[in-house]
Amino acid sequence: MLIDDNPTDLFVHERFLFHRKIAHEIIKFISAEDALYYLCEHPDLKEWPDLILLDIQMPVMNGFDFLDQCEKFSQLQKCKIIMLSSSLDFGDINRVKANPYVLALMEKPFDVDELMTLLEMNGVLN
Amino acid sequence: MEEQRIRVLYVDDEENNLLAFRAYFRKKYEVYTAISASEAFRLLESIEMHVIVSDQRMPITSGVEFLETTIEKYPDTIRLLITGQSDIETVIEAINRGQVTKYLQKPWDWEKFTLILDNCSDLYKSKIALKEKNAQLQKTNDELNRFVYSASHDLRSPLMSVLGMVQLAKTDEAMDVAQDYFEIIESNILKLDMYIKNIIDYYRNSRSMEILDNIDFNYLANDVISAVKDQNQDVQIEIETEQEEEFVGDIFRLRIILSNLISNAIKYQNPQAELHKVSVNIKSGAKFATISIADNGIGILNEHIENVFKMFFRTYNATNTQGTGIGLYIVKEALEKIGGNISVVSTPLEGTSFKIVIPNKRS
Repeated sequence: MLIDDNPTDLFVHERFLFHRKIAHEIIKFISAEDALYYLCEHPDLKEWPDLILLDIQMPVMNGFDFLDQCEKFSQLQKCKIIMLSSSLDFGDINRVKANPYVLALMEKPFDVDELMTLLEMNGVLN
Repeated sequence: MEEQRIRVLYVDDEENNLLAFRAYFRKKYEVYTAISASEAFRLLESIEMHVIVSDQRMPITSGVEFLETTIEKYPDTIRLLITGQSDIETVIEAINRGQVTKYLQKPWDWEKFTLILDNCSDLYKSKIALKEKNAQLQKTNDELNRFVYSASHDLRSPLMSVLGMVQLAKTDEAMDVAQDYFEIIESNILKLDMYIKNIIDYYRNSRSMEILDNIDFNYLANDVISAVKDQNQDVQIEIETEQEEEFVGDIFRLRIILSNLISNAIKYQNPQAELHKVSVNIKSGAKFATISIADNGIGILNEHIENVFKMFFRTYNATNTQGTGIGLYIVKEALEKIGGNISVVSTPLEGTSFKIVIPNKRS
């Protein structure tokens, strides 16, 4: 699942994941609220993503707000989350480290090799 | 405080003086009078006075005692005391304790009074003007901070999107024909991004206090180098660190300093050299750390050495790799903030060596 308010980034990330065969099914959301709505409407664990690429800086509801909202869902345990940012803010880095659901914070545009290594290390790729 | 008339309060236990004062000054100033300290208090409760003139010799509460009570509520008001000959000791003490700004001795004439009152009025106006300037400055500062954050995201966000597209295109086999174009586009984007990052670093550096942390120089050096390695692959970088003791410093600024210096060393290579080398040598001790960054690049001309730390100073060089002109300036500013210093030695066409010394902030 890709969540990003920037349509170009959504496109690029989708292509990267596709190209490297990291994901066989990709759903994109242009806002955190849309993603949240989808998750509420699909409580079945099968419909929840294995991997979420979550942008931090988004209007109205940002990445961290989205996580706060998701935490009440037990299905979240299934998801590995990677947060993305176009600016490396030390405050954000610390917040990410403190959050148990998030694997890492990566700077956009992310290095695909780095992403693959991270996913392999965390047993997401199989 | 543009054209507002200065409000003057005159306190005196002699009615005649009050009347004469009002008659004389009411055209120039907004005059209020009170026959006693307690009447003056009542007035002050509802009206703010800019200048308060008080006679010293009053029953119950003296001039000095009264003026002292106005300090807390009206710290900016100018206080003028009217004294008799024998009050000098009291006056001097009052002035030194800040209760009174100026004094006027009896017997006085109206000219003298006018002069001193005008003086007080000017003093008040300049105090207020200063306050306003400071508030304006604070506002500008806050706006600047907001701009830095905005620049950090709004400028870089679309830039990073474009970079992502370029990198995507590079991996697409159908795009093989255009690979050269993509390389150029990518390098220009990275250059622009470097400039934006530099600007952000500069403003972040100029406003924030030191953030102290334990420093592992080996880790820091390797981290910085891996971040800048993409710039130029065929440079051999050697790192040597000697750190025996705990070192406490501002990791954020140290990172800026190191990455600018190393980045420069990589950038200003000598195209005629067979092997491009950059060596980073760090020796850290209990009191300070010495870091040397040396390269075998094109060097700096003697007449330029004085200027390299100046803002926007750039040199034209053989490989035509343009710098931003801000890098070394930021390094110098950052060093100043943490109490370090920098020196440079260079021979054109042979190489340059920068040496910085930074204090260990371990308490």
